[in-house]
Amino acid sequence: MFQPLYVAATGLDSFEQEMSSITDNLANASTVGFKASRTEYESLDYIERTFQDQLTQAMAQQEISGQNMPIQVGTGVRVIGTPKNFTQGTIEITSNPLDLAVQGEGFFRVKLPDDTTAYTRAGNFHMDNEGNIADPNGHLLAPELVIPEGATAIIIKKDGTVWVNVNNENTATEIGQITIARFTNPAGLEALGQNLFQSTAASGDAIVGNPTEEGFGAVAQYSLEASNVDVISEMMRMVIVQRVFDTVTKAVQSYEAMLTSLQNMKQS
Amino acid sequence: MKDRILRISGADLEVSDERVKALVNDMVNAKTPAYQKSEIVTRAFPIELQSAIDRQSMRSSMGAMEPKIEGTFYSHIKGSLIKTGGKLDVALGGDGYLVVEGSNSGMNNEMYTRDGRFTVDTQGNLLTVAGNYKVMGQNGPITLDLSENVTINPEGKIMVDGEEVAILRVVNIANTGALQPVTGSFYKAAPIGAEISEDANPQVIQGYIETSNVSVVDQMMDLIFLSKKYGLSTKVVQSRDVDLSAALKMGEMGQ
Repeated sequence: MFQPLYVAATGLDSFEQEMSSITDNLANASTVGFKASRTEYESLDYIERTFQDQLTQAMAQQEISGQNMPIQVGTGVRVIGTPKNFTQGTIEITSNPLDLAVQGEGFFRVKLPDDTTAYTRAGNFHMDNEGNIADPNGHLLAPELVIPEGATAIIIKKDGTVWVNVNNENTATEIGQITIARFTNPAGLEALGQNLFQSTAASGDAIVGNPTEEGFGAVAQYSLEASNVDVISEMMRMVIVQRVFDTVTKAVQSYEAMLTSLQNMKQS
Repeated sequence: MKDRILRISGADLEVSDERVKALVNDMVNAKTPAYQKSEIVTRAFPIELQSAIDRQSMRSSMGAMEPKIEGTFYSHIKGSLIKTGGKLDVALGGDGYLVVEGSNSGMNNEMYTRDGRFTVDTQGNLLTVAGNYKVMGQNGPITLDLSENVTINPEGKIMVDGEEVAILRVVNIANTGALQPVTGSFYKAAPIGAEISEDANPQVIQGYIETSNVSVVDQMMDLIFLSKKYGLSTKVVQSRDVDLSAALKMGEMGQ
């Protein structure tokens, strides 16, 4: 009884979830290194009717056609996940030497306060008061990299090596190497917020390497990766979700009207 | 007391109820990729008439004209394609079905779907996003390394860094009526057996997924039709009820 209402509820619930994922994408349309997420739907299992129903039906059909065709009714829809879409965002040029972007596969690694490593595509780093390279929230780049005092120019090459000129000297000295990480299944990464991701069983362990090595992208200095949110397609999604939501609401109203007419059927 | 009019209207209400269930399920799945809509089939009038004639010769014709549910029909019309750009999203240009490994073991453990949203697990097994079923290649389940450059060509060949690792298995099913749904987008072959043949020209399109084939316009029209029909049937029951009680009262007055 009332099954259509429960089925409609699964739909409304799923559309609401997609709506919040769309709003999240739109709100982050200009967040550096943000990756848009997509909402994946799955239809729920079909149930066959009760044994008694099937038996009566089978008997009735045997009489006429001798065929058997089961009646199956679906039970709704659900959202299985909102995996991130890790396509490359456009690279924007900046004037900060510590603005970095990865072109191709790979995540920068930063150290969280609990000593675990998080991964990010947002390369808007800065120098803290001790010369450490850190992200906007103060998480240090892993492995740690300290810019020596008196450094006048910082050059970060494509392969991730970091060079500095100290006290306006003409020759640059290499002070370290930025390593990046890639994953077998990046869609399985867990988003921590603050543009950070953590590896999970689904993503597999991080494979760490130097930029431009096989399978890894290159590091670009004076660049930031813009978010890969496509505002137009998000708006389209929003229109569609809203329409489908309205349709299902109408179905609920109609079904309710049907129930009312059923109740009024018996004269008092 | 058996009243024919009440019986027929009752049967009609039951049919409408069943239809609403299918309708609402189609509606909520209007955004589920590769979902195929269902339709409740009621027995056609000629069959009904024949059965009425048959029954007349044997016993009373009581209840001959009541509508009956024959079963569920699934529309295997293709949905439209939408671009996602995902390297593990495929749509089928032809009429074929992708083959996945079902959850129950043993014989005939294949399921068919047009939902080409794939993902990989940590072992590199290629799975469907919906249901996590193993995707079958022509040589069994497929494993691949996602960190490399993956392309899938129109013949269904999966190339990792230019090297062919597997070919997606795509089959044509001649009698789609023999497919039974597991969910709205995954089907298994009915016990009577489906006529399955390999699709030599599957036209696999990478970076696209197929939408559900539910048309919201049709759904709204059906909804209006159903609720009016439902209203009519309840009205018939109502007036029959009034008639019958009038008949009873007539008896009382006669006493």
